[in-house]
Amino acid sequence: MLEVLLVFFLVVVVLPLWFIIHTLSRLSSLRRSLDEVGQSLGAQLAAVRRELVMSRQRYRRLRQRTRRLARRLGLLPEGEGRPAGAPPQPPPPPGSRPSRPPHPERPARPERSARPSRVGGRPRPVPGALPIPPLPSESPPASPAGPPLPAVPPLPAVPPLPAVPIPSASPAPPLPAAAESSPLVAPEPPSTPAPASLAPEIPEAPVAEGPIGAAPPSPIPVPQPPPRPWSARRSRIDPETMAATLESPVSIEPLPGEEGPAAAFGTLDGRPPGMGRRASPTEPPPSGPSWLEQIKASLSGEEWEAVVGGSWLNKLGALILVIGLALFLNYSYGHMGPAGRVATGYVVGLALLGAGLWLERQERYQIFTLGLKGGGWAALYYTSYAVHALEASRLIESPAVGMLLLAGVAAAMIAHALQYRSEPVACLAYFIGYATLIISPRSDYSLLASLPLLASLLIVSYRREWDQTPLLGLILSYVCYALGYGDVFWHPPLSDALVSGKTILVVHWLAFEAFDLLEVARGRRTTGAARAVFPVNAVGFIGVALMHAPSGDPYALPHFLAMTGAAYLVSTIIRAWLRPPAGFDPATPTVERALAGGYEGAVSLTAVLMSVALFLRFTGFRLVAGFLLLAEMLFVTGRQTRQAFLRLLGILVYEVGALYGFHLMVTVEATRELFGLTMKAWTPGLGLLIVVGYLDALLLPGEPAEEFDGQSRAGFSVTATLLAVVCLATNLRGQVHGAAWLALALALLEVAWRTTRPEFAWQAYGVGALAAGTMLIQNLARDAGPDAWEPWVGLALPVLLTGFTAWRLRFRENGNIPLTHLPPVSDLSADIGVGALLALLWHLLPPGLVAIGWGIVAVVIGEIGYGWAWPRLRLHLQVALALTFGRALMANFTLLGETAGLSHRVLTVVPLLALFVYEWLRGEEEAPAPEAGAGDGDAPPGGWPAGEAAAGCSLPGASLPGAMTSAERDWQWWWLYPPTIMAAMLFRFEFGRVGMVTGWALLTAGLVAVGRRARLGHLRAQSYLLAVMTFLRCWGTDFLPPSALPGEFDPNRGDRLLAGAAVVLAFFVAQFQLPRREDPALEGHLTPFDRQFRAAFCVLGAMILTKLIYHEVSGHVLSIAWGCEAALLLAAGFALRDRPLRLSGMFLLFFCILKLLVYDFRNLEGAWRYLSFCLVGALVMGISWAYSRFRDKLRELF
Amino acid sequence: MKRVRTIGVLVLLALLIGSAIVVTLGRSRPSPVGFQAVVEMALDAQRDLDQVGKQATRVSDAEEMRLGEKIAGRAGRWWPMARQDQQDYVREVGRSLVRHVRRPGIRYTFHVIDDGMVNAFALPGGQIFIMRGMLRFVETEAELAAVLGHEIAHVDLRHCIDLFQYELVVKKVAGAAGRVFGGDLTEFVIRATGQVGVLVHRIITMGYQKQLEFDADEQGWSLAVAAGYDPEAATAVFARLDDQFGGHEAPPRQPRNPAAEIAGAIHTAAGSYFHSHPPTPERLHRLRQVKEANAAGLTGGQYYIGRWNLRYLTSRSREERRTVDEFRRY
Repeated sequence: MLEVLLVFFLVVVVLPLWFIIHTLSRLSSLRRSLDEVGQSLGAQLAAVRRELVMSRQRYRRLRQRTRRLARRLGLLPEGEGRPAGAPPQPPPPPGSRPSRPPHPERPARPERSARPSRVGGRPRPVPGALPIPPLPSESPPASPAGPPLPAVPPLPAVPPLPAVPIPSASPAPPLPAAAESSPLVAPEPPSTPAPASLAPEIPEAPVAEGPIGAAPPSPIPVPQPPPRPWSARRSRIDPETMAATLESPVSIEPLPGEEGPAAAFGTLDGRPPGMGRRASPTEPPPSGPSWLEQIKASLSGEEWEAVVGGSWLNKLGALILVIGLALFLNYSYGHMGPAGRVATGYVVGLALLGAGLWLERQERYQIFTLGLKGGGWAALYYTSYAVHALEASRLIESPAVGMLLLAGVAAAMIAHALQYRSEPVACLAYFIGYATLIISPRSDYSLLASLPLLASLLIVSYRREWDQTPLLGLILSYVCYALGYGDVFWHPPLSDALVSGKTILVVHWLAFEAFDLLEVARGRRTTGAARAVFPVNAVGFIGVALMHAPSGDPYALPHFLAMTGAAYLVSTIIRAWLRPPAGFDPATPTVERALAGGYEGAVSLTAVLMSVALFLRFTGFRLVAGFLLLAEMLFVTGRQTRQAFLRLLGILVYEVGALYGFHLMVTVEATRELFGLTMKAWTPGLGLLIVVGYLDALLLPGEPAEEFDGQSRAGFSVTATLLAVVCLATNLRGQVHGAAWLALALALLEVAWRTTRPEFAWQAYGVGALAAGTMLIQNLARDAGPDAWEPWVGLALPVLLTGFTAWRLRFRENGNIPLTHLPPVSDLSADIGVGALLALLWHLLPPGLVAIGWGIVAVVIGEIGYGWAWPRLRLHLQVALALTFGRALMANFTLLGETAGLSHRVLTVVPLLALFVYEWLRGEEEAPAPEAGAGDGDAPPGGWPAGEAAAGCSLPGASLPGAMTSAERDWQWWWLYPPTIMAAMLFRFEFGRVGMVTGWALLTAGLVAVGRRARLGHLRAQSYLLAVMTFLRCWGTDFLPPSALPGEFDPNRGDRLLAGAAVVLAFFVAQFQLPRREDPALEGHLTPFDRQFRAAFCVLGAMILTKLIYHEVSGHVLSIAWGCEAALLLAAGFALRDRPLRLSGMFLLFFCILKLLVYDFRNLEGAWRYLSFCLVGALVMGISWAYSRFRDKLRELF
Repeated sequence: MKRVRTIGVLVLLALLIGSAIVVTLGRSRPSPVGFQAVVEMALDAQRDLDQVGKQATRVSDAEEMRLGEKIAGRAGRWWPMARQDQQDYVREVGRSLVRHVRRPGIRYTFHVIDDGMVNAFALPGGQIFIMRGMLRFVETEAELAAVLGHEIAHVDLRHCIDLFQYELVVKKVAGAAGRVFGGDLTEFVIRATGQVGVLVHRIITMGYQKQLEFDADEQGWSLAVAAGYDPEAATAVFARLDDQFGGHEAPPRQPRNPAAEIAGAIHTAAGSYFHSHPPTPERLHRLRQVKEANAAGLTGGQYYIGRWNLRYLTSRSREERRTVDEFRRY
């Protein structure tokens, strides 16, 4: 039934109406511009005057350019229209062609001056279209004087057209007398740009021929066009470009790859006009005044009151009157039957229309009559509508007859309106028509009644090339539908409905879409309002449908959206055929393309609608698969057609699917079994997303590629990587996250290795960094899992993977990875591998053996670093040694337990001591000293060369890549300290706080000896520090542990005495290990500190011995014992030719004498008193004798 | 050279791996992991440096005893004294211990406070206080000797006078400055400045107060053993103290990640710095180590326990029971 109605409607209503409108529009097309100007400027004559002055100037320039162009093209003889003395223009380039004849279907526009007036056939001036008076120096028109233009055919006879009288609010300014006889009509206002389809008519406008350069200076500055970008200059020539070029004296040189100028000048875009001719993509948007500017201009003068009172109030009154009439017809009351009401409606309508037609003969009522005529037609239309539609006024029962009547009235109204060629009048008529539908009761008839309106509106708009009327009709159609019939779309309420509301709405959409496609085909999609038809149609159709979307049926809306998307897919194909993407400048923005009729808008809508439909229809895996399918369709199509926009849409849909995947990850906790593995329920769907994302990235061409290809690859692969990262994190336990991500990173790196897709490498770096950070956190700061395999999987696997990767990147071919990436990536892989290995050992070994394990790792990586010249591993060696040292401090000195009588402390620390010593020796071997024989701690005389002191500088003899640098060598000394520290601590914790002094003293002597012979200043410095600590400990504890009791009660007294003796002896040995000051062979290798400590060792030893004697010898014989000690020191000093010994003895002797005199004399009693005096006196005498006896030798010693 | 290097690497690896195997096969005990070793080394050094100043500003024994008597006089007013028989018994046991002290010039005085608290303390100059609760807590005279020996050791090792030593020096210097330069203000300023310094010094040296307790335990044990008392008595009384007054906290869980291990180590090191007394299990462990270190000297001797003597408050010096259960033989 619906189809029958549609066919009937098309055959009976639309086709005749279209024929009539088409014919009328043909006849009146040439007056279109004049009518528009007259209608829009009727009440603002003053503004028109200003515009006309400017128009004259522009018109004159345009004429000059046209003449120049004609001369260059050979259409005008040389010298014509050119000032005397001006050089002849260069001939047109070869291959150029003259301007083509006008389109056969479109007759050339006749000269407007030749148009007779329709009223009485009497030519009369058109108000508002003022004739331009000839300028004083203006020559006669070129057409009669010059040779005929070859490209301009004879003008056809044009039937007389009615001139629309435009009342003038103020008298026209006085014009020269010649103005009355000027054949020229006013050109189009300069502010109204010529549409693209009219552009080829420029050469065929040889009107207003006048002299060039004779115009008086314009009081109004002529705006200069802004400079255009280079991309625009490279595009096809538009009128502005041509004008600028014509003003320039230089000839037009075609750019490389561009057609010759003549070819471009033919139709301005080098294409034949007519159907399918597309506007130049770089044509600038129209620069005419907007409605707002027009309104402002009309209200700027004193005429605004006339405008409001004469025009607006008139139209408003007509609208109200028609509404009142509609209400009257719909109102039932007993005094008047339906025939009376209909008759009243017709009478009112005819009266209004007749009054309008009668009054329009008078100029002053031109505006006023618009409202009368519009209101009259609206009354007639609605009355015809009410004859069948309204119960109160129903005279015609047959819907077909009613519809025919309505169509006839609409056709008459529109035909009448079109006679005025006024878009505002037509808009008013259509607005009233739609208003009647809005206020009428809902019925099949009312639904169908919108179709004739729609058809006439679109056909007229198409023929008249109106921009605003279709947009207004579009808005009115959907508003009408939304207000009156919105719910019909989903639930047709009408019983025995002839046509469903859904069909009517679809017809609306189809009609506007077809109109838009026709506009696209005609190439008129660059003007302002017409560009809005497509988006407004889409918004209106979908919006109206969604306004009343049913809530009960879950599938209705998805199906509707899917079908709409399918319809837009068809539209996409048609648009792509009508306006191929190749016709656009590549620099044209996508929005501009879509508004200009490209396929981008339609395909975007398709993607959006399909995506929403999928989202509403499916969930879970099906939805993911649906998104993927849609994305792949777009992407593959874009890839095959090389359309970046399609690929972009594909990526966006894929990203939407990925977002849904993330949503699933967050919200769905359910698990499922697949292939015997327990995983999250969404894992298969996300796995599909990940795989497809990577495949798409791999399907795209690798580098070198277009920029968008790289971005597309990154769009797919980055999303897939993110999904994979989160998927792994959600499915696996925290302890193995790092390992899983690391495996993913290495897989990505492998892809980057084998293909020319650098984004995979960057993703590998990112995921690798994430894995490293996770491993750091998970394995260093989180508890290990309960399963024993977790450290192996979480750490041992990364060790293998990263170790292999580091080795491969460093020693094998680099594949497609940039060379600059190799060292850092290899080093970072090694970092992760070594770190994981150390962490693995921490988890696997008991606390006391972790340092041992790390030490073994240090040895191995150190040997690799030295042997393979791998600086990073040598750095790892340093780090591993530092960690080993720290770990030993934390765990190995408090280690309890023993094996075969040896404490575990000793068993674990001693090998570590050996480790540090070995590594120091190994480093010394790899980094030979700059000066042969020079020790590490002893700088050569004059210091190191400045260049070698810089960090990173390779050492002499070790300039191979990866060899040790001076910075590494300069830090070697640090590894001399851990062995000493560990040895000292080992003594401390093995022998206690007091008993360890023996070990420290022996260690001091050993360090001095080694440091002296190996010329290692750091060892000697350690010995000095250790000596001071030993002395302080001895001085503070007196070799007495707390458990020791003085005197004979101490079972360990002998041990203590031995310990004291050992310390004293070690100090003296250390003293004699240091060279004497006077040794000239060692000049330059010793520091002043060394010389001072030679004496310090002696003094410290003497003091310790003195105090030991103080504690062990009874107070009665203390002076004697000290005297003997002093004598021994002096004797040793003489024998060994050591002055510190002698001075120590001398000082002690004096102290002893002082003690005798001050303390012993008072406190000692009996025999001890004189014995002390006698013995000490004898000692002093003996010493004095010795000094006298060996005076000469002493002088030599001094 | 390369061969030597190869041999060196192999030897080193063999040493490392061999030590790990030996340790794994040996008798291991749970060992703490932390900064105890480093902290102990640092406290040792701090104590050595502090000893230099302490030895340079020694006060005489007579002065120390005057100070102790002064403080003890105040303490006698604060706390009531126990029965005389208890006072006499403790004094006699204490006197048997002081024969082997390092500073024989100190005259020791023993007081029993009539308080049920299980505690004992020492003041400079040999003033030893023990609560009646502690007297009831110990089970043998040897255990009482161990407790008294610990307090005597605090005096003998100058732990008590060390707390007042710098304060006394400040007072002396301030008084001398006041006399020389005149005016109370000078004396006040010097004394106030010195007190601030003393306070800072106490805070700094708070770290090794636990070490002083260990030293007192060791020397107290030595004094008791040298006096012929049971070497096991000290460990017994500490074990019983731990049983009755110890926290019985669950042993800390073995850290399962390196960060937790380091955090625990820092927490332990920082928390233990301000503890005045070490944990009782650690003291027990040290005492056992001391006994093992002196095992050679103990071999062949017999040491008195004195259950009967404590029960009847009759010191061993008055009556020594010759029964088998009153002696421990090594």
